[in-house]
Amino acid sequence: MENNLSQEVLEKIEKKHLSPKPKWEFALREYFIWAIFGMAVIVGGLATSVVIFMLDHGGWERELGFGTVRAIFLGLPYFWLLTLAVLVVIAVYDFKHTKRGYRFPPTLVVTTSVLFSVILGSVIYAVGGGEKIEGLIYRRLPIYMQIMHWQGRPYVASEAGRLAGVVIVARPVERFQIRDFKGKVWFVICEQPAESNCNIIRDGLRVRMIGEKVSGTEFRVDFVKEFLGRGMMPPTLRRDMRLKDRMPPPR
Amino acid sequence: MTVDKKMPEKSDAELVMLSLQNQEDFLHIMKRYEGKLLNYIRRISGVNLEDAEDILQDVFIKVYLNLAGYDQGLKFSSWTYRITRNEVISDFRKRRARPKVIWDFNSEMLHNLMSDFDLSAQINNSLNNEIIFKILDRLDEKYKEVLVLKFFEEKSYEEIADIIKKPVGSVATLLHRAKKQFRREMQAQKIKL
Repeated sequence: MENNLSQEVLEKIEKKHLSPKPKWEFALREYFIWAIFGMAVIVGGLATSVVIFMLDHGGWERELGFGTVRAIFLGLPYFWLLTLAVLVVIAVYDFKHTKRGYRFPPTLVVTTSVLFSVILGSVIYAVGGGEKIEGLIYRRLPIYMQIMHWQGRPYVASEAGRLAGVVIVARPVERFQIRDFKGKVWFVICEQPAESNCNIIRDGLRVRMIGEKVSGTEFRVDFVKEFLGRGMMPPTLRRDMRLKDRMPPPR
Repeated sequence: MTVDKKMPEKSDAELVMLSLQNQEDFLHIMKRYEGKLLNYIRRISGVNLEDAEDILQDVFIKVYLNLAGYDQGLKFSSWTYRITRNEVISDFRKRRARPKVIWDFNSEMLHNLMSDFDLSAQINNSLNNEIIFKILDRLDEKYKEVLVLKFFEEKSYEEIADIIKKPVGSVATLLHRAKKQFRREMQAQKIKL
């Protein structure tokens, strides 16, 4: 029986002209898998740089009158955290399909993958990459723009003295125009551009502002800050001087 | 085909290299593994001899086609067992059936298993063996698989890990959980061996 089986297999191989797959096929497959892993880690690094950027340049929620818990949740970069999570899953799944990847415990693979992304992301952020990537994706990916505008909606409360949106007409800076994140167009009156930080205003910039609603379409600004990004606080508006102390509580 | 008397002395890796250059040398690999793999297939699937041989033929063809992809960092036997396991699973998926493990322990194997489960004192007669096999049958498939590899095929943890493609720690965990489930089943059925 045993001799027949082996012989039968050999005859089948000869009859069907079967031959071993070439070594380069296996090498190519392995390179391809490692390439995907590498890409997932690199893109994960890019996503991490944006996460760091958004966390570092968010804030101001307390000054705008939000409570601590809400402030934390408002400021989280959900899109990028989800992107990072998906990329980690891809990297881990891919790694396990390398020749010896299965030998490593999943927790170790996840931790290592996240660590690589964080280290790479930190480096990219440090050289200004996080801000550039976020801006690029915002301009080029419509769905991301919609998500960011939707995330910006809680910052639109003109009655409570805060407004946020995209600059659509930057000049003159004393009366520039924005479209808020709910879609409404406002004329923003900036009486003292230097003190109010209005000199940062340019077309397409996402901004948030503290000030006062003057009419149905006009808002007088006390201070304007980039929605994401550095904005200097004037001496008259210290970090510990919360908006909610001056204005009615937001609805 | 003339028989090369030196072939049995050659290592698996050497036979692989020779088979890549000369198709007929693959016969020696098949002869070396036929018996073991046939028993393994029958043990983990419960199929008859004829069906097991069909599966084994497919296994050997797959081994031959992928010979150049054999990773020498792995034991050749682990690699062929892995292909065999996958082929059995694939075969049953096509049939939309579940493989059935055959617990044909000899007494030494049974003693090793029960000793590992800290139950060696309880083995004393054939009636108990039947009960043991019934309980083993009730275990989850993933536990049965590692039990077969460890106690029937006498594979080490590292070899089992390479065959089922899991970390060594996971293999140890599976065996530990198999033990726990076995004990739970004994209690559930109020069995005293």
